[in-house]
Amino acid sequence: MLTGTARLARELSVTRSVIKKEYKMWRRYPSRVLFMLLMPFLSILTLYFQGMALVGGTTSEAFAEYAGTNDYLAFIIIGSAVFIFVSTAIWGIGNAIRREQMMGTLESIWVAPVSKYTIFFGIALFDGLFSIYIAFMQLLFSTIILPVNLVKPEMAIIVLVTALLLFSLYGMGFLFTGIVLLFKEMEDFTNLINTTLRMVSPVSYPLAAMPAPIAIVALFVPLTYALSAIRGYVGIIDTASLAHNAAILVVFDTAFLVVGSIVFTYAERRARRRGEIATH
Amino acid sequence: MHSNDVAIGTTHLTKTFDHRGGLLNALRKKDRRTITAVDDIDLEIGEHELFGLLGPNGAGKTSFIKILSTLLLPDRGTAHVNGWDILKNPFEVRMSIGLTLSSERQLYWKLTPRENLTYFASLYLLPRADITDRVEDLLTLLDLGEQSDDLVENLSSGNKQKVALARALLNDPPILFLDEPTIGLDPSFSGQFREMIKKEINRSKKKTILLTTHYMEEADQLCDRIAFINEGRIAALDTPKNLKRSIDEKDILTLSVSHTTEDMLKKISQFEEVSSVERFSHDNDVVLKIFTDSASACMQDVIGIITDERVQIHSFSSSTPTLEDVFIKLTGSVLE
Ligand SMILES: Nc1ncnc2c1ncn2[C@@H]1O[C@H](COP(=O)(O)OP(=O)(O)O)[C@@H](O)[C@H]1O
Ligand SMILES: [Mg+2]
Repeated sequence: MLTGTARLARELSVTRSVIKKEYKMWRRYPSRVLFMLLMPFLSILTLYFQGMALVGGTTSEAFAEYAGTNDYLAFIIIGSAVFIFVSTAIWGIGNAIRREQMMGTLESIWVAPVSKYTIFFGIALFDGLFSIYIAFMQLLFSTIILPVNLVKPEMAIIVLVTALLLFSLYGMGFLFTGIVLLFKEMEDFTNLINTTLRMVSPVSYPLAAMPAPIAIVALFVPLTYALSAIRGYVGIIDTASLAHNAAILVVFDTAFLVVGSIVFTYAERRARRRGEIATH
Repeated sequence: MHSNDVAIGTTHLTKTFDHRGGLLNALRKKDRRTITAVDDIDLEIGEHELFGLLGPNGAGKTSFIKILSTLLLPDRGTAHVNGWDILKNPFEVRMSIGLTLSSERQLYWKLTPRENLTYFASLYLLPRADITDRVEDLLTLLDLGEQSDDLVENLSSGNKQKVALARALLNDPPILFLDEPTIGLDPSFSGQFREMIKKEINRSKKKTILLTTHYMEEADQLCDRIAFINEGRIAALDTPKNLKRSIDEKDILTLSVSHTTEDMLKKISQFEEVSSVERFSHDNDVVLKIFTDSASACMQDVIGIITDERVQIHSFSSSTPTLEDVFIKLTGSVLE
């Protein structure tokens, strides 16, 4: 039987097949292609018009009191780009598994010897490419069309911190994949958590603007630290707070990956005990 | 680890399901029933054997196959597949088996057969270099022609099932589980497909096959041995020939009638030539199976009793026992 590094190498090569297959499936659903192409532009324009209506421009001094920067539009666009990664990392795997369940193919995958995590990894890579495309187009489009300058050398910080954030998010992703297997229902749950997450973490407004109880909840959401670290660059870069936030993220990463895997393992066994891998 | 010549062995294999009548009832702890889908099954299937599990809907066939495939965890007992324990070595079990399910949806409809097979082959951890060859060989075996590159959604049910069979063969496993392989297929295609399973896959490729079915002809034509399964239990196990010989009665009278009365059933069973009467409903009619040593000796009397009771006879026939008759005699249930 296949063991050790030989198995690991084979498992890794499966991720390529998963990406290929996800791409082919995606291409054959025209509505998904259209969404992907238009989404970055529409979402940015929405943010822009919102900003104009609320603040009357792209900067705001009132905003600066909370955020340390008056560049309201940059603040929001960056938050939004990071949120793309947040959403796909948390929901991408669970949604893909739910799709297979609805299509009727989940048992065919489950009975194969490949590790479930290999399939998850493939899905995550595929989704990651999507997120990169969307975030990149959003930033590019904003820079070209809108009166805001985002493309600076400090962009490296954003990429680095978002990468650090992703591990926590994939931990949550495993957890929610377990929840898909436990409860089947995903859509309402996705909306609920996404909205809550947006509310309790400083995506659309800074931490200082939150009422105290919510700000406390925000302290337990890894996104908060990522955004604090990233936004530093919109105002003044503060390397001490960057390092501090990054360290907190690493702790979150470990905790979320461990908890997520435990929940998934439990849910997977429970589904196999109840004969519920396939039911929809 | 490998016991000689046994491909699949189960001991005391048991699986129950809790049925809760909706969420509210579950909260009120009302209406809870426990269904024993697989009930203490001990079974041994030999290497290269083509073994059939024959039983009606809900008998526990799919549950049994899913337990052996590691998709379902048993409550009690265990099983060995290709020498591996399904609970302790699920990875090795998965490497040793191929599975087709009865659902048409087990493949990606938006991919072609070639794309489906290529993807699934990778999930069996085959070396990349082997995948293309393996897929090509199987597509040749299927003889799909141009449809190899057509979307699965455009294939007939029969061809979909062929692709599912090919998928089960991707890793060249010694053991195949086929859950109702010809369900929903038209009769002429079913015939061909059964031929292929027996000749190509079992006899020439020497695969051990466990298939489930509720078609008695399928079990009769294909299987080396058959286990009757009903309500999770094995009711009988033998070759088709021996099973058909196992009942003493030489004839079966089958009558389809409008209704039955207690009196009439009692009178019929009291005839010396009649050994037992089974009654079940089918398409708004009541069907009577009368097991007898001599149809000619009791036919007149049986008809007499029924007409005396003013019961209408819709059809009437006499035949030698089929596998289904044996099943009915042993379990009291019908197959379809
Ligand atoms: N996941 C499940 N949850 C609850 N009950 C189930 C589940 N799967 C099967 N059953 C029940 O177990 C019994 C056996 O089902 P199954 O194994 O599918 O039989 P068959 O394949 O012979 O038709 C049936 O009563 C069925 O309703
Ligand atoms: Mg079944």
